[in-house]
Amino acid sequence: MINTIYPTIQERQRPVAVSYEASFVRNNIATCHVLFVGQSVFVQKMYKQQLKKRFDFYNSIWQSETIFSSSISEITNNSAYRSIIGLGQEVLPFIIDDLKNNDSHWFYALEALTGQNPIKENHKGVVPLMKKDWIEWAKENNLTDEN
Amino acid sequence: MRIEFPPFPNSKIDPFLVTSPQTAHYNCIAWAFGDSTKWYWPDSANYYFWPNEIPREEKIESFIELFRLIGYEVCENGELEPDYFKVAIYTDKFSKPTHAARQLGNGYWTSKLGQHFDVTHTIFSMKDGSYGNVAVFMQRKK
Repeated sequence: MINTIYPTIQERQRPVAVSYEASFVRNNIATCHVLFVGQSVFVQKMYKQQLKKRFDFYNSIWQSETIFSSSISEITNNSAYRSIIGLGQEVLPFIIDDLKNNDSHWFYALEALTGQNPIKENHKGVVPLMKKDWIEWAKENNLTDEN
Repeated sequence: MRIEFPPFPNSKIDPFLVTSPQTAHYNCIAWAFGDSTKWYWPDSANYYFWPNEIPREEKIESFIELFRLIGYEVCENGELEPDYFKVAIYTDKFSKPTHAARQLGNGYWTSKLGQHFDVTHTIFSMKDGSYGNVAVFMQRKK
């Protein structure tokens, strides 16, 4: 929701480190992203930074809450995991990046977000090969954090 | 290495020893089955390994069938018997399978803790923890 408390003319005349306009944009970056997406490089960059923070936050909760679990339904029904899926397709590069460095069970989230399942039949359950299939798919589809 | 694990309250009063590096390449079911290369689970989306001949259902019956594939049969207890290998299948309070452990030759049990490491423990040290309790013991002749 947009922050409607806007400074008075007098307040705006005081010297500040970050302009009220910039502060306003920073505070409402998620909304700005929806309003100005495709128009402002600044908003897109800020939104991506915020999204990464939220991804890291939910990811750390998910990891700590499911580290002892073998049950895939428990791992993938975890509320933090569902929250990551809820962040939408823009988190895909973060997931792929995490998958490159860890053996986390991102496969359900990846399918939920892309509608794809590139895992080969004989790779089921073999986590390093499941990872490899998804990372190759991500490369083919230019879905890495660099893009 | 001796560590206290809050998810397993009895780990501070009975043996609970870390015996491997951390890895997510296999889980407790695979470890009890004797396979350290795959993640076994009967997930409905069919992502993880589960033998085709066994129903992909998160029910104790499916897990019993899994261990029957390699010769285990349900038995009465987890006491050490020199002529038998034994496994224990754990369920939560809703009777949903959560975990499996395999008995070692010295009477202790070995478990893989989800995406964490392997531990050697007793039935008591894992009792009333994150995995619930043992629902079924199974054995097979050595």
